[in-house]
Amino acid sequence: MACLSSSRLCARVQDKLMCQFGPKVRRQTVFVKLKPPGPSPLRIFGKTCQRVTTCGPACGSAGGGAVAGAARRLASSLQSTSTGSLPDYGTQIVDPYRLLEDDLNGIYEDIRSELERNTNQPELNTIATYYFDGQGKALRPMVTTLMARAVNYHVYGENSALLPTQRQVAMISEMIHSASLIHDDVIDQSDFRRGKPSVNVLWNHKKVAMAGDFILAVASMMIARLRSDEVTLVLSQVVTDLVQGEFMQLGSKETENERFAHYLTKTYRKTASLIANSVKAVALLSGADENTCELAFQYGRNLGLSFQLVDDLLDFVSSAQAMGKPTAADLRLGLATAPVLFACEKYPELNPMIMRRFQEAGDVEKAFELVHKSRGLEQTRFLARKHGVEAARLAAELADSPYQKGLVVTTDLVLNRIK
Amino acid sequence: MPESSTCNVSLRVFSSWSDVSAGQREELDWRNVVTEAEQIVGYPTSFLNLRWLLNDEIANTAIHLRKLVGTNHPLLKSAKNLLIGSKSNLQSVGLIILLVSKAADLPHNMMDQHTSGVLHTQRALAEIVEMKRTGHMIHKTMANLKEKEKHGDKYKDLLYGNKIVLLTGDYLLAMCLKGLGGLRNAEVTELISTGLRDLVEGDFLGERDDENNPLPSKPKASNDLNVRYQWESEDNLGKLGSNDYLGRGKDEWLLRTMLTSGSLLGKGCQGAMKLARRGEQMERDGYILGGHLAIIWQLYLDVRDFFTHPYSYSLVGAPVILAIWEYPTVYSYILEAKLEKRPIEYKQLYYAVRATRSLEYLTLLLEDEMAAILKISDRFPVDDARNAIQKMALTIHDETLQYIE
Repeated sequence: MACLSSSRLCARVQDKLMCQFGPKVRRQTVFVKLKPPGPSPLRIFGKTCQRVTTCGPACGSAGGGAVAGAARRLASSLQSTSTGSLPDYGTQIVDPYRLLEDDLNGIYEDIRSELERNTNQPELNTIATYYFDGQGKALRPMVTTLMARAVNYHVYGENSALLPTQRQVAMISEMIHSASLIHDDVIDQSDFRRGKPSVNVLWNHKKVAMAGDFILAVASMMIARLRSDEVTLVLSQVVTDLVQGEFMQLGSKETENERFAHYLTKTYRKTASLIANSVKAVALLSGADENTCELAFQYGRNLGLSFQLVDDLLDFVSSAQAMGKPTAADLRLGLATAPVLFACEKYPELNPMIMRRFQEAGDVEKAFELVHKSRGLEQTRFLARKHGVEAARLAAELADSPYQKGLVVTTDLVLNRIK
Repeated sequence: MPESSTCNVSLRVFSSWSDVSAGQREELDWRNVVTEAEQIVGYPTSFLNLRWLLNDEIANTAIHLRKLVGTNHPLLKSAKNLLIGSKSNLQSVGLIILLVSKAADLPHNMMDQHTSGVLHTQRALAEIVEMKRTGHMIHKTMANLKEKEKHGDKYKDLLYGNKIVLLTGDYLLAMCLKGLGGLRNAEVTELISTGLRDLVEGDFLGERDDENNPLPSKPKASNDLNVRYQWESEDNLGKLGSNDYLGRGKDEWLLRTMLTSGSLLGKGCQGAMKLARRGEQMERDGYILGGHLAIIWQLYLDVRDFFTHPYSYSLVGAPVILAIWEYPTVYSYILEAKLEKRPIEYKQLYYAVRATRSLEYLTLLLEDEMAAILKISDRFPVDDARNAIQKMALTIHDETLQYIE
């Protein structure tokens, strides 16, 4: 989420972007800092916006011509971003994080309290709450809550509220995600995550594994307390998928075609499944019909795939500082992601490197270079965009609401982030 | 005590405790007790662990595991115990849950969903609890790799071993969650999930040495009788006990035991009662019965460990903990070793413990537990299953006494 700090749509001109993308000329992602006229508060669909002076027109409908005009300029500048044109949002620009500010507020605190409530041991508490400091992107809770609200609106109309159970799902999704990160850090032996030492650097493997289990146990308790068999099955599927995805990463496939299919399945399991099933869960809790639940699922699936593809792309183009962790990380781990798999087409010498997992001296550097020389990055971006567009298309089938717009905007945010 | 698998023991079914007297009691061979119990519930639990072995992921894991052969990875030592039956192994956990399930009888409207008096859902639960315990145990075998240099060449292998261990454990825990979902009983899911939470809590309880092995806590001075750990009556969905019990001898030991085994076994039994809709009283009884069985089992393990490994027994086992409580100066062995950063003098501690009345208290505790088990299991109506449970407990009880005497 390039330009979004914890909860607002602020303006920043991203000079850095120009350097990162090398010879290809890129349009900058520009967001404009705007001051709406007058001190009167703006309203979106009955919700009053606070802190209006510092941000752009996240609040839509009311407010007058000047704001609408500014909004259109904003919309048009959004459209000029690198991944190509997306539908005009009209005069209502939506920032999902701001939109859900009240809902998302305190989500990390609530997770931490839930964990704290379940142990008497300070060390366990410290390790378990390490990644819930609010420094993460909070993408999963945000998307989950967004979909919950959008589906609630779709089913019940304007006066629908976020159900407490749906908020729990948002928390659960973040907890499952963190538990898997904690375990992944052990497997990948990563040193840094989110700009601070990763959890396995500070504590030994056993304690870290246990802490991950603890988070999972508490998340399972929370899932059970939702008292919905359907939702339990849907969310437990996520955990299975995560593990199977990790197992897939340990193995490898022979032929190129198999490899790509393998990569996509693995990507679904490791990333998209959590998002897809979380949004499906909130749709179920909303009481939506089967079609809507399936729509939510497919939205999540496409968004998740798009997200991961961009992640894989960023590993090749971003800087260590921006990412919060070192780059070319995937290659160093021996992982062949989409850019590499695409690059194989032009540079078959990558094939043996993939098979030996870039273990030989110089493999990582050579592969990195070849990927940049090939069309791999472009093709990855294209695929990411394809999934993003599909997700946006699905979201558009829900009833009009700021949340539905938010879902569409999110697909854009995922595509345009720099970290 | 040698296990004699060729021993041909004829077993009598006791209809009540009064039939059994010291003279009449025959030596019950553990394996026979288990086999008979298995027959009663109609399920060969010795195969319980093999089913998931036939799954793809685990087959892959086996391939990865082979690479560990020749390394010192702790998993290899534990693997033998995980697959082959022994008195200290996990399979009996599933068996006990099945026995308690049968012993509690079934409601009339569920008569079509069982085999041998155990509901299919109860069988599934027994397997889930076994898997949960196995998954957690596997995670416990992770090697401590903090000091890379210590391991030298072996470091890479140990790291790889840790990865496999982590994934395999995760796989089992994921299967558990899926299995619980399939039972379509949210209360049971919640209950068993708290069981996993308690297992992890047990791993962090109290003081630890550099290798993360548990150490006894410093004994507390007051003899405040109000502070007794009442595990039978606490709300077991919330966290168990509190750190206040550390340093209080029996209470510390009870808390640790409940966390590391009692909770899961007890909740497994309680969950089985829930699935059969036996009502709140029976659910509580199930939990209490499971808890006491775990306690007596742990007593046996601790005593056996103390007497058969006089140079490496667990420092938080019952003999040591009770000794420290009775005679706080015994704690100095632990404290001095910690402060002077040297290994514990196991042999001297051994004699120090034996010099106290620790073993006497242990015997009392053993008798108390046996009595509690008999009392609570007598509330379960189905004869053969109930007797099998009592026989198992009795066997454990007797063998423990054998060590002490």
